[in-house]
Amino acid sequence: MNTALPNPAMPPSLSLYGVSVSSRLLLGTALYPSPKVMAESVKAAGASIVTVSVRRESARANSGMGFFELVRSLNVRVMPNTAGCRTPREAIATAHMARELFGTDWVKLEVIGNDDTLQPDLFGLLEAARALIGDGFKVFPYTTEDLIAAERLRDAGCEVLMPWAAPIGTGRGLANPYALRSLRTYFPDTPLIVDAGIGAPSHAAAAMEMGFDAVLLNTAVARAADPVRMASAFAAAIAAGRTAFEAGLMEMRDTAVPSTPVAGTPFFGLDQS
Amino acid sequence: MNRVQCRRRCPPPAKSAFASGRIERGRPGNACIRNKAIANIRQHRGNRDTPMQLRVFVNGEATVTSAATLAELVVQFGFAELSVATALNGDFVPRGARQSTRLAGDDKVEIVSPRQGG
Repeated sequence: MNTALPNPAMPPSLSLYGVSVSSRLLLGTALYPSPKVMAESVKAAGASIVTVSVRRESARANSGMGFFELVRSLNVRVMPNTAGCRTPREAIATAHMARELFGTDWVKLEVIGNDDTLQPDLFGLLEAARALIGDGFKVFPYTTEDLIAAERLRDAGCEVLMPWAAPIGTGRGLANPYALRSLRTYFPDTPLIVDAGIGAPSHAAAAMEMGFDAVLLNTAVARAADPVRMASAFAAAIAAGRTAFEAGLMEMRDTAVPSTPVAGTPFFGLDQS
Repeated sequence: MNRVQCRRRCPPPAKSAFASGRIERGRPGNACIRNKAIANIRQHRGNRDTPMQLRVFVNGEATVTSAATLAELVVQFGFAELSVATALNGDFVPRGARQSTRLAGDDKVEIVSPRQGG
C-alpha cells in the first residue's frame, strides 16, 4: 500500500489534453476592479490557466488586444469560453472566432439553456462538443453533475469534464455533493474540474477533498473585498484539499469513538456507587 | 496600393495595426485607415463618384456601407484586421476568407475581439 501513496514533495501533476498543468486553480479574468488587480490576482493564485472570452468590438476602440497583451504578459495558458451562447451554432462560431484570436484550440464550451440559472443546455452542449471536436478543438464542456450527459460527452471525445458546483455567480458552493461524489466515482480516470458556483475557499477545499482534479472560479475572487488576498486563500485551500485527498480522509461514522485510549483509564471498572 | 496621407494629427495607430502591414509607423491612425480604404475602394471600382451602398448589421447595429467584402468592412470600421475575428450570418469567417467574402444587403456581421471571461 505504501508504494501507492503520493510523495507530498512531488505532487502528481494534472494533465489536461496531454498538457501538464502545475496549478489546480483555474481563474477567470472578468469582474475585477481593475486590470492591475486581475493581473495580481492571477499571480497570487499561482494559476497557470485563465479563462477569457470574445465580445463585440466597438469601432475605433480596438480595446481587446490591450487586454490580451496584459494576459500574455502573465505567462499563462488561456482558455477561451463561449459564455452567453444559447445555441450550438452560436457556440461553434464563437469557439472558432476565439481560436483565431487567441491562437489556442482549447475551449471552455458553454451552451446556456436558462437565463436565471445559467444552466447548461446539455443537449445543445453535446451537439456543439461533437462538432467542435470534429473541427480539432480540445473541448472543456461546462456541464452539470448529470452522469449520462457526462458519459455522452466522454464518448464524443471530451477528455476533461467541468461540472458545476452551483449556478454561475451564486457562490453557493457544492449544491449537490452526493451527485458530484457519484460523478467522481464513475469517472475515476477523467480529469474533472469543478466550475462555477464556488463562493468560499472552504467550498473549493471540499471539492478537492472529494477528489476533483481542479477548480475553476472567477466571481469569488474578483468580487472579494481584496481579490489578491482572496486568490491566495483559494490557492491555499485548493492545495490543502488536494493534499488531504491524497492523504486519504477517514471514514465518517454515525457513532462516537473515543480517540484517547480506553485501556488504562483511571478508575475504570470501579464501582461508582 | 495608393497611399492616402492624412493631413490631420492623428494618434499613432495600435501596435497590432503595424503587424497587419496596412499602415506604417508614424503614419495616420484609424480614422485615416478608413479614409484610405474608401479611397482605395473607389479607385478599385473605376473611380465611380457614388460607390454602391449596402445596409448591413454590424454587431447588431444597422449601418450603410460601401464595402463590397468583409475585409473592406473591417478596414472601413477602423478595426486592426489582426485583432478581430468575424462571423457572417452566424457562421465563422476565417481571417483569410474575409477578402473573398462578398457582402449582401441585410447581412449580419459580428466583429469580436479578446475580452475578460469567467
